[in-house]
Amino acid sequence: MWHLSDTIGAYRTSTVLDFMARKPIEVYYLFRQPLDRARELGVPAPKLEGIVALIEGLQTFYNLD
Amino acid sequence: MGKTDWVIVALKTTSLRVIPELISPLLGENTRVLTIMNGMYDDDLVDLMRKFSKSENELPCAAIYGGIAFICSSRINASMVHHSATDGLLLGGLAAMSVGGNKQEALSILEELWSPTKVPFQSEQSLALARWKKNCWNIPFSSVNVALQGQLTIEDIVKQPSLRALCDEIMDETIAIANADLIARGETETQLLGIKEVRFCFVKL
Repeated sequence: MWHLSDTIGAYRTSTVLDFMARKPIEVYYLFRQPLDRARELGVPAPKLEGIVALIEGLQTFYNLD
Repeated sequence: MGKTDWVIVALKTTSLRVIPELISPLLGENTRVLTIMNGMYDDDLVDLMRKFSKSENELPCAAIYGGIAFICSSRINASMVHHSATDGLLLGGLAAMSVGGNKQEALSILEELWSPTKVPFQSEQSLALARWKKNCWNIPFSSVNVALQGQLTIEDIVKQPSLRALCDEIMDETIAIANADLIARGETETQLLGIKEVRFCFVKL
């Protein structure tokens, strides 16, 4: 995975491109659902929780549901 | 157009709810549906398809498959796709199926669809495992990329030590969630993801 990231270059993921175009972004199935699953199974994921909270804030602010 | 043998769906999951109605004119009892999308949506899609079916709890088609594309592509305008991976188009973890019939037989039918093409593919018995493999890249890098509102590219992110460390920690969290999920789904020990294996694996088929 790190090899891909280290060689991918000036890439933005398609979710970012959607965000920058102010289109609906795939927050629920990409991020929220895995986090809900983590909670359900008792797996701590504090860093991801923080980042996803920020993303959901942006999603609400720009109305990108 | 009428009923077809295959329907391939490659929408964003923001449109998941419209899929059953959208593809319904194409569905017959022998139709197979392959969705090649990102995220953990398969269980919800199967529920939506069952609810849409005339006889509830039965699928309105022969089978539903999930696919994962390892291609690093972005649509940069209405008619142009920028494909930035250096190794050509890769389509991976393609054939894991969710429901309907004998799993091995169903996978063989999907393999027959892709074999004559130039698209490299691999089939994977566990759809959840295939999904989590891609999530191990998508969840850390895409989440950080979005939280930074696209101001930094993946290259910028991996070169900044603090952001690199953050992605690394989120990748470890993702692996932990993946393994807990796979265990809960009854996958065997050999199907679980190893931290080293994920970090150093080449996303290639």
